[in-house]
Amino acid sequence: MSGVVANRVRQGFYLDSVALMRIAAQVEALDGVENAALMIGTPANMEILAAAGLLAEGSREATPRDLIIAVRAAEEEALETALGQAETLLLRPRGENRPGAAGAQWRPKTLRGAARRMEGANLALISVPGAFAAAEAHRALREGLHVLLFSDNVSLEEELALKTEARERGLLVMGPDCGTAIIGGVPLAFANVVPRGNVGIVSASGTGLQEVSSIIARLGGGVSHGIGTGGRDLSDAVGGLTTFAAIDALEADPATTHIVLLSKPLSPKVAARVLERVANGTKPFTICFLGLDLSDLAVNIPSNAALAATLQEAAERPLGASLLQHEPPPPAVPARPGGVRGLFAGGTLCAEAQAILLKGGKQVYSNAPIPGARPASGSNGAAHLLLDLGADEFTVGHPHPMMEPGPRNKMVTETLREKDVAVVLLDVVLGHGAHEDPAAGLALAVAETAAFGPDRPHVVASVCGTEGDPQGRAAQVEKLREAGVVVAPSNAAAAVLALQIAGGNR
Amino acid sequence: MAELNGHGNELDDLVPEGGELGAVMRLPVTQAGRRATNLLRAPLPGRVAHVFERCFYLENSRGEMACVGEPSIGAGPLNALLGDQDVDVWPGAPWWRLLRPGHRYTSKGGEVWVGNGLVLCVRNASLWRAPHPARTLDRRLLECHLRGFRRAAQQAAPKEGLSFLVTGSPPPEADSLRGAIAAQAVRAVIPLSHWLAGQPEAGVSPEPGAPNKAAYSQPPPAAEALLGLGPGLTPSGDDLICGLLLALQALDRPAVAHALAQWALPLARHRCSPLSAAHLSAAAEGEGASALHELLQGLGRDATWTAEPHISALAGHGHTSGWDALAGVWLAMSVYAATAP
Repeated sequence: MSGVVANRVRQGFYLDSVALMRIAAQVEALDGVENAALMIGTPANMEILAAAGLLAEGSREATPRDLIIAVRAAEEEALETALGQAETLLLRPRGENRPGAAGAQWRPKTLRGAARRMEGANLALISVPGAFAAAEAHRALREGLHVLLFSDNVSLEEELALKTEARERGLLVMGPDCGTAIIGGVPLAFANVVPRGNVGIVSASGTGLQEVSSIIARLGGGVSHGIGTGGRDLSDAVGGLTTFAAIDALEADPATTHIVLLSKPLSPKVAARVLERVANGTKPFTICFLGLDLSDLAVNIPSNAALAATLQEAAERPLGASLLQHEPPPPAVPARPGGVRGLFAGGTLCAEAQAILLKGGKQVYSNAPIPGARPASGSNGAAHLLLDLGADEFTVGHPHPMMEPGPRNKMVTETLREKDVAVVLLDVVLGHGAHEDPAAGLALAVAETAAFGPDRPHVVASVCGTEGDPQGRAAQVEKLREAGVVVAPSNAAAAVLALQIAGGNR
Repeated sequence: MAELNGHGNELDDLVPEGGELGAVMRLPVTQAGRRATNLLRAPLPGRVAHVFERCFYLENSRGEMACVGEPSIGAGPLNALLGDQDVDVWPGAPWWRLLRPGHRYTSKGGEVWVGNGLVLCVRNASLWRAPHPARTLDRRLLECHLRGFRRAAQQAAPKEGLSFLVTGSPPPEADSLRGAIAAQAVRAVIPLSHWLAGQPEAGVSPEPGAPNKAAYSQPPPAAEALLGLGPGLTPSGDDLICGLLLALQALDRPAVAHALAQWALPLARHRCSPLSAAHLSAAAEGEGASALHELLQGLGRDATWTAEPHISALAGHGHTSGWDALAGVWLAMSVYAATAP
C-alpha cells in the first residue's frame, strides 16, 4: 500500500461508534488522505486496522480502553493535518459530531425524552415505516401527546385501536397517512402558509385541506386550526372517531367561529352521524363531502350547516366572499374535440374534478374513481380519464409527485401528443413539503410541446398555495402562463373550464 | 451492546472549569438489576467510568460496573433507573454537566455519593430480574416469526453494524471500514453457526449439574474475531455474542450457552472493553436488556407476537447495539429452526 501511516492513541477516551465513523469519514475526505479509521483498541479492531494498512508500529500497545486514530495519507503534511483534524473533531462539544447538529445540543432518542425536553409539548408527529408507526403512536398517547401520524401502511385494526385509546385519553390521532395539518398556525407536513383566523377545518383529505386553507388565505381570511383525520376516518370501520373529536375540539376553541368539514367519498352511515353531530353543534358549519349526495341521506341538513359542492365553495362560504371577485377568471378557451386527461398530484383534487365532470354529465374514468365514475382500464381512448398520480400504483418505490414532479411532467409531454385529448388538466400544489419549484419543470415540459403545432391539446392548471409559501404562488402562476398554460384560480374552476373545452364530448 | 446502555458522547469539554454544585442533589433509584444493586449497596469505593447523555457508568474497585440512568434506557442487570419524577433534571441539568469520568463515589447506608454533590438513594429501589419464557417453543411458529422478523427488520435496519445478518442484505463493500468489520463478522459467524448446529440439543445435557464437557466442544477459533469487533466502546461483535447467549438460554439450550460463555468470558478480559466484558458476564448468567427478554418471551411461543414493537424498542439502544444483539438472537433462532428435529 502506498502512502504514509500514523496512529495516535487516546488513553481512556470513548465516543459512540457512529460518531467515530462519522469523524473517520470527515477525515478521509481531506485532501491527500487515503484512508482513516477511529476505533477502540481491541485486538479484533487492530486486526482490521492492520489488514487495511492503517496500523502503525507501537499502536499494538493500545488496550480496549483506548481509542486509536489511524490515518494513511499520500504524504507527511497531509497526514499531520488529518491527525490534527481528527483530534479537533473528537474534542468538539457533544452533539456536534452528529448529523444536522448545529451545536452542543441534546438530541432526544425517544418520544419521552423529546416530550420532556420541550416543556408544554403536546403533539408528536410520527413518520416512521408503517409497521413501526402504531407502537410509536401508542407511546405518544401514553405520554399525553396528540398524534399526527404521517406514516401510511398502518392497519385498520391498529388505526381503530389508536383512535379508541386517544378518545379515552382525550387526545387526537390525526391519521394514519395524514399528510396535512395546520395546528395553532403551524403548518405540519404538506401544508401551506396561511394566516391565523377564525375558520377551523376538519379534513379527511390532505390536498382538500390545502386547497381550502389556501383559498381562505387568498380571500383575506385565516385558519384557527386545520385538523387532518386520515383518509379512512369516515369509513364504517373507524366511524369518524377523529372527526368527532376534532369537531368537539373546535367547538370548544374560542378562536374558531366557523367549522368546515371536508372529505373525499365517505360512508353514508357515518356521514349521517356527522350531520347529527353538526345539528347539535353551537357553531355554523360548511360541509363539503365530495362524491356524496347528502340529499340521499335520511337526515335533514342541519340549520347551522351549509353544503358546498366544491372545495372553492367550502372556502368561500365561511367568509361570505367570492374568489372570482378577488382573482380574475381564466381567459376563454375554444372548445376542442377529445377527452379530458387529468394528471393530478392531489388525490382530493382528482376526486373534485371527477365530481364536476360527472355533474356535467360526462362519463369519467379514474384509477381512484368516486361513486359514479368507472375504474380506468388500459385504453380509455377519447374518454375523460382523471388519474391520481399520488396513488400507490404510481408511488411504490418513487417519490410522491408533489415532491418530485419529473415523472408527471414527462406524462404531460406524452399526453400532449395524443390527438384524442382535448385538454390536459393539472394541479400544482405548493407549500411546505412540496417541490421547491414545481412550475419550472412543468412549464418546460409544456413549452417543449409547442412544436407539436396549434392542434396540440390545451393545458389547464390550478395552483394550490399562497403567496407566503416557500415557492410563492404568483411566481409559479406566471411561469405556467408564460409557457402557455391556462391557469384557473382554483381546482374546481380548472375542472369547470376543462368541462367547457371538452363540452361536446360525452 | 455497542452503546447498548450507552447513549452518547464524552462530556469532558462541557464540564465547567472547577464546576461545583451549589447544593447536594438527591435522586432516588426506583429499580435496579442484580449487578447494579450489588454495586450500589456494596461498601466499596469506585469511580465514574463513562458519562453519556442519558446515563453514566460507575465502576468499583473490583472492576464491577453499573449504569445509572433515566428510565428510557430500560431495565437490565447493570442498570439502575432513576424515577420518572426526576427525569426533568436530565438534559443540561447541573449535576449531569458536572459528572465526569474519574470522579469518585462512595456507598454507605443506602446512599451513593457521586462526585461533588450527587446522591443516589437506593434504599427503596426494587430489584429487576430477567423473566423466563413462560410458554413452550413451537418450531413452526418460530419459523413464521422469523420471516416476519426479517421483513420488519428490512424496513428499519441501520447501515452500520451487523443488522445485515438479520435482514439478509448483502454486507457493505469490503473496501470500507464498515465493510471490513462486516466481512470479519461473516468469517466468524459462519463457523460459529456450524458449531451451534453441531451441539447436542437440550435434554442431552447433564445440567443443572456439571456440564458434560465432552459433549459440548468449544466454539471454533475463528469466532474469536467477534470479541471486540467494532469501533465503539461496546463493539458490535460483543453485542452479537450477548444476544446469542440470551437466545440460547431462551431456547432451553443452557449447556450450549454455558460452553459459549466459558469460551468467551476469559477472552473478553483482554479482547473487550471492561464495559463490554461486564455485559457479556451478565449475559452469561442469562440477563441482558429487558427489551431483549421481552422479545424472547414471545418469539416462537406466542401466536400474537409481532416483531415491530420489539425492534422499535431495541433500535433505541445505541445506534447499532440493539440491532447487533438482534443479530445474535437471529443466529441462535435461525440455526435452531433449521436444525431442530
